[in-house]
Amino acid sequence: MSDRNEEFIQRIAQTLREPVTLRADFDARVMAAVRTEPAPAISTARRIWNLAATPRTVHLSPIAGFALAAGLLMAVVAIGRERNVATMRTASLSAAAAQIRSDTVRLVQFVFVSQDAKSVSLVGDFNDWNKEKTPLHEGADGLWTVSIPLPNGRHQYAFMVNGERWMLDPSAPTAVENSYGTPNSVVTVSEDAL
Amino acid sequence: MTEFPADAVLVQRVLAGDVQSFSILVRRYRERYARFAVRMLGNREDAEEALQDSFVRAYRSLARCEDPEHFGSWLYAILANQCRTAATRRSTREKRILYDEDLMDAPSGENESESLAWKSEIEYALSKLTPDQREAFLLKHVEDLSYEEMETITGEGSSTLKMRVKRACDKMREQLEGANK
Repeated sequence: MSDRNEEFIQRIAQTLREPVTLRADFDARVMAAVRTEPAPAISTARRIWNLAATPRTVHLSPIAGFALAAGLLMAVVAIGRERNVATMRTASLSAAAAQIRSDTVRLVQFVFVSQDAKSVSLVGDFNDWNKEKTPLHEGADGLWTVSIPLPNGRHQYAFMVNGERWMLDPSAPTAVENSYGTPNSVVTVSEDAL
Repeated sequence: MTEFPADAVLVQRVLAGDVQSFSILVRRYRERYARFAVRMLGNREDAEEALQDSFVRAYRSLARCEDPEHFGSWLYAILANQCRTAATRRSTREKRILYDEDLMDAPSGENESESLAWKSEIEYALSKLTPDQREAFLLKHVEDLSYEEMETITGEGSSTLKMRVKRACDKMREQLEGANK
Protein backbone atom coordinates (compact mmCIF):
# COMPACT_ATOMS: atom_id res chain seq x y z
CA MET A 1 0.00 0.00 0.00
CA SER A 2 1.38 3.42 -0.95
CA ASP A 3 2.04 6.06 1.71
CA ARG A 4 -0.91 8.08 0.47
CA ASN A 5 -3.26 5.12 0.68
CA GLU A 6 -1.91 4.14 4.07
CA GLU A 7 -2.48 7.67 5.35
CA PHE A 8 -6.02 7.62 3.99
CA ILE A 9 -6.85 4.29 5.68
CA GLN A 10 -5.33 5.47 8.95
CA ARG A 11 -7.51 8.58 8.83
CA ILE A 12 -10.56 6.34 8.50
CA ALA A 13 -9.35 4.01 11.25
CA GLN A 14 -8.73 6.91 13.62
CA THR A 15 -12.35 7.99 13.30
CA LEU A 16 -13.59 4.44 13.83
CA ARG A 17 -11.43 4.06 16.94
CA GLU A 18 -13.48 6.58 18.84
CA PRO A 19 -14.93 4.84 21.90
CA VAL A 20 -18.58 3.87 22.14
CA THR A 21 -20.65 4.13 25.28
CA LEU A 22 -22.74 1.26 26.51
CA ARG A 23 -25.94 1.75 28.45
CA ALA A 24 -25.30 2.14 32.16
CA ASP A 25 -27.05 -1.09 33.07
CA PHE A 26 -25.10 -3.23 30.58
CA ASP A 27 -23.05 -5.06 33.24
CA ALA A 28 -26.11 -5.71 35.36
CA ARG A 29 -28.00 -7.14 32.40
CA VAL A 30 -25.13 -9.42 31.45
CA MET A 31 -24.66 -10.69 35.00
CA ALA A 32 -28.41 -11.20 35.43
CA ALA A 33 -28.41 -13.31 32.26
CA VAL A 34 -25.31 -15.19 33.40
CA ARG A 35 -26.89 -16.01 36.76
CA THR A 36 -29.79 -17.74 35.05
CA GLU A 37 -27.31 -20.14 33.43
CA PRO A 38 -26.25 -23.39 35.09
CA ALA A 39 -22.72 -23.25 36.48
CA PRO A 40 -20.15 -24.06 33.79
CA ALA A 41 -18.81 -27.48 34.64
CA ILE A 42 -15.56 -29.09 33.64
CA SER A 43 -16.29 -32.45 32.05
CA THR A 44 -14.90 -35.59 33.62
CA ALA A 45 -12.76 -36.20 30.56
CA ARG A 46 -11.33 -32.69 30.85
CA ARG A 47 -10.59 -33.17 34.55
CA ILE A 48 -8.74 -36.39 33.82
CA TRP A 49 -6.77 -34.62 31.10
CA ASN A 50 -5.95 -31.70 33.42
CA LEU A 51 -4.84 -34.12 36.08
CA ALA A 52 -2.63 -35.97 33.62
CA ALA A 53 -1.26 -32.76 32.13
CA THR A 54 -0.41 -31.12 35.45
CA PRO A 55 3.26 -31.59 36.32
CA ARG A 56 3.65 -33.09 39.76
CA THR A 57 6.63 -33.81 41.94
CA VAL A 58 6.50 -37.15 43.66
CA HIS A 59 8.84 -37.84 46.55
CA LEU A 60 9.32 -41.46 47.40
CA SER A 61 10.35 -42.61 50.86
CA PRO A 62 13.70 -44.25 51.44
CA ILE A 63 11.88 -47.53 51.27
CA ALA A 64 11.24 -46.80 47.64
CA GLY A 65 10.73 -50.46 46.90
CA PHE A 66 7.28 -50.23 48.41
CA ALA A 67 6.59 -47.32 46.11
CA LEU A 68 2.98 -46.27 45.71
CA ALA A 69 1.49 -49.15 47.69
CA ALA A 70 3.49 -48.14 50.74
CA GLY A 71 2.48 -44.54 50.30
CA LEU A 72 -1.19 -45.36 50.21
CA LEU A 73 -0.86 -47.49 53.30
CA MET A 74 0.82 -44.62 55.11
CA ALA A 75 -2.03 -42.35 54.12
CA VAL A 76 -4.50 -44.64 55.83
CA VAL A 77 -2.33 -44.78 58.92
CA ALA A 78 -2.01 -41.01 58.93
CA ILE A 79 -5.74 -40.52 58.71
CA GLY A 80 -6.15 -42.71 61.78
CA ARG A 81 -3.59 -40.67 63.68
CA GLU A 82 -5.11 -37.41 62.58
CA ARG A 83 -8.22 -37.95 64.68
CA ASN A 84 -6.18 -37.57 67.85
CA VAL A 85 -4.56 -34.44 66.59
CA ALA A 86 -7.93 -32.98 65.66
CA THR A 87 -9.04 -33.52 69.24
CA MET A 88 -5.95 -31.71 70.51
CA ARG A 89 -6.54 -28.72 68.29
CA THR A 90 -8.85 -26.16 69.83
CA ALA A 91 -10.95 -23.25 68.69
CA SER A 92 -8.00 -20.98 69.34
CA LEU A 93 -7.12 -21.78 65.74
CA SER A 94 -8.93 -19.25 63.62
CA ALA A 95 -7.88 -20.92 60.43
CA ALA A 96 -4.74 -22.87 59.86
CA ALA A 97 -3.19 -25.88 58.35
CA ALA A 98 -1.58 -28.51 60.54
CA GLN A 99 0.48 -31.41 59.34
CA ILE A 100 0.91 -34.93 60.53
CA ARG A 101 3.99 -36.73 59.45
CA SER A 102 4.41 -40.08 57.93
CA ASP A 103 7.21 -41.40 55.78
CA THR A 104 5.66 -40.64 52.43
CA VAL A 105 2.40 -38.82 53.00
CA ARG A 106 1.59 -35.90 55.23
CA LEU A 107 -1.93 -35.31 56.31
CA VAL A 108 -2.79 -31.63 56.33
CA GLN A 109 -5.70 -30.29 58.31
CA PHE A 110 -7.40 -27.15 57.05
CA VAL A 111 -9.51 -25.18 59.50
CA PHE A 112 -11.87 -22.32 58.79
CA VAL A 113 -13.99 -20.52 61.36
CA SER A 114 -17.36 -19.12 60.42
CA GLN A 115 -20.58 -19.07 62.43
CA ASP A 116 -22.62 -17.97 59.43
CA ALA A 117 -21.40 -20.16 56.58
CA LYS A 118 -23.80 -22.69 55.17
CA SER A 119 -21.02 -24.58 53.40
CA VAL A 120 -17.26 -24.32 53.12
CA SER A 121 -15.07 -26.18 50.68
CA LEU A 122 -11.38 -26.27 49.98
CA VAL A 123 -10.12 -25.48 46.50
CA GLY A 124 -6.49 -25.70 45.50
CA ASP A 125 -3.94 -26.84 43.01
CA PHE A 126 -4.17 -30.32 44.57
CA ASN A 127 -7.87 -30.80 43.68
CA ASP A 128 -8.08 -28.98 40.35
CA TRP A 129 -9.67 -25.99 42.10
CA ASN A 130 -12.89 -27.97 42.24
CA LYS A 131 -15.24 -26.86 45.01
CA GLU A 132 -17.13 -30.15 44.96
CA LYS A 133 -14.14 -32.33 45.77
CA THR A 134 -13.12 -31.30 49.27
CA PRO A 135 -15.93 -30.02 51.50
CA LEU A 136 -15.11 -28.98 55.06
CA HIS A 137 -17.18 -30.50 57.88
CA GLU A 138 -18.85 -28.26 60.42
CA GLY A 139 -18.07 -28.83 64.07
CA ALA A 140 -18.85 -26.93 67.23
CA ASP A 141 -18.60 -23.14 67.39
CA GLY A 142 -18.49 -22.66 63.63
CA LEU A 143 -15.27 -24.64 63.28
CA TRP A 144 -15.06 -26.15 59.79
CA THR A 145 -12.33 -28.71 59.16
CA VAL A 146 -11.05 -31.15 56.63
CA SER A 147 -7.88 -33.22 56.48
CA ILE A 148 -6.30 -34.40 53.27
CA PRO A 149 -3.03 -36.14 52.41
CA LEU A 150 -0.62 -33.93 50.48
CA PRO A 151 2.81 -34.61 49.04
CA ASN A 152 5.79 -32.50 50.02
CA GLY A 153 5.93 -29.13 48.39
CA ARG A 154 4.15 -25.78 48.26
CA HIS A 155 0.43 -25.92 47.63
CA GLN A 156 -1.83 -23.00 46.83
CA TYR A 157 -5.38 -22.98 48.07
CA ALA A 158 -8.40 -20.96 49.14
CA PHE A 159 -11.75 -21.53 50.79
CA MET A 160 -15.04 -21.33 48.91
CA VAL A 161 -17.77 -20.18 51.28
CA ASN A 162 -21.43 -20.89 50.47
CA GLY A 163 -20.35 -22.06 47.04
CA GLU A 164 -19.56 -18.57 45.78
CA ARG A 165 -17.27 -16.55 48.04
CA TRP A 166 -13.57 -16.98 47.46
CA MET A 167 -11.74 -16.48 50.77
CA LEU A 168 -8.06 -16.66 51.60
CA ASP A 169 -6.92 -18.36 54.77
CA PRO A 170 -6.33 -15.46 57.19
CA SER A 171 -3.79 -17.40 59.19
CA ALA A 172 -1.91 -19.07 56.38
CA PRO A 173 1.83 -18.84 57.00
CA THR A 174 2.30 -17.06 53.69
CA ALA A 175 0.04 -15.69 51.01
CA VAL A 176 1.99 -15.00 47.87
CA GLU A 177 1.12 -13.96 44.39
CA ASN A 178 0.63 -16.93 42.13
CA SER A 179 2.00 -17.06 38.61
CA TYR A 180 -0.95 -15.02 37.38
CA GLY A 181 -0.33 -12.19 39.83
CA THR A 182 -3.06 -12.73 42.41
CA PRO A 183 -2.74 -14.11 45.91
CA ASN A 184 -3.70 -17.55 47.07
CA SER A 185 -3.03 -18.99 50.47
CA VAL A 186 -0.01 -21.24 50.62
CA VAL A 187 0.83 -24.25 52.69
CA THR A 188 4.27 -25.80 52.53
CA VAL A 189 4.41 -29.50 53.24
CA SER A 190 7.82 -30.79 54.23
CA GLU A 191 9.59 -32.77 56.89
CA ASP A 192 10.65 -29.54 58.58
CA ALA A 193 7.24 -27.93 58.54
CA LEU A 194 6.16 -29.26 61.91
CA MET B 1 -0.68 -4.09 29.58
CA THR B 2 -1.12 -6.82 32.16
CA GLU B 3 -4.27 -6.56 34.22
CA PHE B 4 -4.89 -8.14 37.60
CA PRO B 5 -6.31 -10.50 38.48
CA ALA B 6 -5.20 -12.21 35.30
CA ASP B 7 -7.83 -13.71 33.01
CA ALA B 8 -6.72 -17.26 33.80
CA VAL B 9 -7.21 -16.67 37.52
CA LEU B 10 -10.68 -15.25 36.98
CA VAL B 11 -11.64 -18.14 34.71
CA GLN B 12 -10.36 -20.54 37.35
CA ARG B 13 -12.47 -18.82 40.01
CA VAL B 14 -15.61 -18.81 37.89
CA LEU B 15 -15.19 -22.50 37.18
CA ALA B 16 -14.81 -23.09 40.90
CA GLY B 17 -18.20 -21.43 41.42
CA ASP B 18 -17.33 -17.76 42.01
CA VAL B 19 -19.77 -16.26 39.50
CA GLN B 20 -18.99 -12.71 40.61
CA SER B 21 -15.48 -13.00 39.17
CA PHE B 22 -17.06 -13.12 35.73
CA SER B 23 -18.20 -9.51 36.19
CA ILE B 24 -14.52 -8.47 36.25
CA LEU B 25 -14.07 -10.08 32.83
CA VAL B 26 -17.17 -8.25 31.59
CA ARG B 27 -15.81 -4.89 32.76
CA ARG B 28 -12.41 -5.67 31.29
CA TYR B 29 -13.59 -6.36 27.74
CA ARG B 30 -16.91 -4.57 27.29
CA GLU B 31 -15.66 -1.19 25.98
CA ARG B 32 -13.24 -2.39 23.35
CA TYR B 33 -15.47 -5.18 22.15
CA ALA B 34 -18.51 -2.89 22.10
CA ARG B 35 -16.67 -0.66 19.65
CA PHE B 36 -16.01 -3.60 17.35
CA ALA B 37 -19.64 -4.76 17.58
CA VAL B 38 -21.04 -1.29 16.89
CA ARG B 39 -18.82 -0.86 13.83
CA MET B 40 -19.77 -4.34 12.61
CA LEU B 41 -23.51 -3.96 13.08
CA GLY B 42 -23.96 -0.23 12.62
CA ASN B 43 -26.09 0.49 15.65
CA ARG B 44 -25.70 0.30 19.37
CA GLU B 45 -28.78 -1.72 20.17
CA ASP B 46 -27.83 -4.70 18.00
CA ALA B 47 -24.21 -4.38 19.14
CA GLU B 48 -25.18 -4.55 22.82
CA GLU B 49 -27.34 -7.57 22.14
CA ALA B 50 -24.52 -9.35 20.31
CA LEU B 51 -22.04 -8.46 23.04
CA GLN B 52 -24.35 -9.63 25.83
CA ASP B 53 -25.04 -12.89 23.99
CA SER B 54 -21.30 -13.37 23.55
CA PHE B 55 -20.60 -12.95 27.26
CA VAL B 56 -23.38 -15.40 28.15
CA ARG B 57 -22.14 -17.93 25.58
CA ALA B 58 -18.61 -17.54 26.92
CA TYR B 59 -19.83 -18.19 30.47
CA ARG B 60 -21.83 -21.22 29.35
CA SER B 61 -18.83 -22.70 27.54
CA LEU B 62 -16.14 -21.53 29.92
CA ALA B 63 -14.99 -25.04 30.72
CA ARG B 64 -14.14 -25.45 27.04
CA CYS B 65 -11.85 -22.41 27.01
CA GLU B 66 -8.63 -24.22 26.11
CA ASP B 67 -6.30 -21.38 27.01
CA PRO B 68 -7.70 -19.26 29.89
CA GLU B 69 -4.67 -16.95 29.73
CA HIS B 70 -6.03 -15.82 26.38
CA PHE B 71 -9.67 -15.60 27.41
CA GLY B 72 -9.89 -12.26 25.57
CA SER B 73 -9.05 -13.78 22.18
CA TRP B 74 -11.46 -16.63 22.80
CA LEU B 75 -14.23 -14.17 23.68
CA TYR B 76 -13.32 -12.09 20.62
CA ALA B 77 -13.84 -15.15 18.41
CA ILE B 78 -17.28 -15.72 19.94
CA LEU B 79 -18.22 -12.07 19.43
CA ALA B 80 -16.88 -11.97 15.87
CA ASN B 81 -18.96 -15.03 15.05
CA GLN B 82 -22.06 -13.49 16.62
CA CYS B 83 -21.58 -10.24 14.70
CA ARG B 84 -20.85 -12.01 11.41
CA THR B 85 -23.97 -14.14 11.75
CA ALA B 86 -26.14 -11.15 12.71
CA ALA B 87 -24.73 -8.98 9.92
CA THR B 88 -25.14 -11.69 7.29
CA ARG B 89 -28.67 -12.50 8.39
CA ARG B 90 -29.65 -8.85 8.33
CA SER B 91 -27.98 -7.99 5.03
CA THR B 92 -30.23 -10.49 3.30
CA ARG B 93 -33.43 -8.84 4.49
CA GLU B 94 -32.81 -5.19 5.26
CA LYS B 95 -30.40 -2.35 4.85
CA ARG B 96 -27.83 -1.71 7.47
CA ILE B 97 -29.06 0.88 9.92
CA LEU B 98 -26.68 3.80 10.16
CA TYR B 99 -27.08 5.06 13.66
CA ASP B 100 -24.06 5.37 15.84
CA GLU B 101 -24.74 8.05 18.42
CA ASP B 102 -21.18 8.18 19.67
CA LEU B 103 -19.73 8.57 16.25
CA MET B 104 -22.28 11.21 15.30
CA ASP B 105 -22.23 13.11 18.60
CA ALA B 106 -18.52 13.54 19.04
CA PRO B 107 -17.02 15.69 16.31
CA SER B 108 -13.26 15.75 16.50
CA GLY B 109 -12.30 17.89 13.51
CA GLU B 110 -11.82 21.60 13.35
CA ASN B 111 -15.05 22.06 11.50
CA GLU B 112 -17.99 20.37 13.17
CA SER B 113 -20.23 19.96 10.14
CA GLU B 114 -17.34 18.69 8.00
CA SER B 115 -16.43 16.25 10.72
CA LEU B 116 -19.98 14.93 10.95
CA ALA B 117 -20.19 14.56 7.20
CA TRP B 118 -16.88 12.66 7.16
CA LYS B 119 -18.06 10.30 9.89
CA SER B 120 -21.34 9.72 8.14
CA GLU B 121 -19.51 8.89 4.90
CA ILE B 122 -17.24 6.45 6.69
CA GLU B 123 -20.23 4.73 8.26
CA TYR B 124 -21.89 4.47 4.89
CA ALA B 125 -18.76 3.15 3.19
CA LEU B 126 -18.35 0.58 5.95
CA SER B 127 -21.93 -0.53 5.45
CA LYS B 128 -21.21 -1.26 1.77
CA LEU B 129 -18.59 -3.89 2.65
CA THR B 130 -19.55 -7.53 3.02
CA PRO B 131 -19.58 -8.73 6.64
CA ASP B 132 -16.34 -10.68 6.06
CA GLN B 133 -14.58 -7.66 4.56
CA ARG B 134 -15.87 -5.37 7.29
CA GLU B 135 -14.67 -7.76 9.98
CA ALA B 136 -11.21 -8.07 8.41
CA PHE B 137 -10.90 -4.30 7.96
CA LEU B 138 -11.93 -3.53 11.54
CA LEU B 139 -9.70 -6.17 13.11
CA LYS B 140 -6.68 -5.10 11.06
CA HIS B 141 -6.91 -1.33 10.90
CA VAL B 142 -9.17 -0.30 13.79
CA GLU B 143 -8.32 -2.92 16.40
CA ASP B 144 -4.74 -3.06 15.14
CA LEU B 145 -4.41 -6.84 15.37
CA SER B 146 -1.75 -8.92 13.67
CA TYR B 147 -2.74 -11.42 11.00
CA GLU B 148 -1.79 -14.18 13.42
CA GLU B 149 -4.27 -12.84 15.98
CA MET B 150 -6.89 -12.44 13.28
CA GLU B 151 -6.43 -16.06 12.25
CA THR B 152 -7.15 -17.14 15.83
CA ILE B 153 -10.28 -15.02 16.03
CA THR B 154 -11.76 -15.71 12.61
CA GLY B 155 -10.47 -19.21 11.91
CA GLU B 156 -9.41 -18.06 8.44
CA GLY B 157 -5.95 -18.29 6.91
CA SER B 158 -3.76 -15.21 6.59
CA SER B 159 -3.89 -15.12 2.78
CA THR B 160 -7.70 -15.02 2.85
CA LEU B 161 -7.64 -12.31 5.50
CA LYS B 162 -5.09 -10.22 3.59
CA MET B 163 -7.27 -10.42 0.50
CA ARG B 164 -10.34 -9.34 2.46
CA VAL B 165 -8.47 -6.41 3.99
CA LYS B 166 -7.17 -5.31 0.61
CA ARG B 167 -10.61 -5.48 -0.99
CA ALA B 168 -12.14 -3.68 1.96
CA CYS B 169 -9.55 -0.89 1.71
CA ASP B 170 -10.11 -0.56 -2.05
CA LYS B 171 -13.88 -0.38 -1.62
CA MET B 172 -13.67 2.09 1.25
CA ARG B 173 -11.36 4.36 -0.70
CA GLU B 174 -13.46 4.08 -3.84
CA GLN B 175 -16.63 4.85 -1.90
CA LEU B 176 -15.18 7.78 0.05
CA GLU B 177 -13.32 9.34 -2.86
CA GLY B 178 -16.46 9.03 -4.97
CA ALA B 179 -18.46 10.81 -2.29
CA ASN B 180 -15.97 13.69 -2.15
CA LYS B 181 -15.84 14.32 -5.88
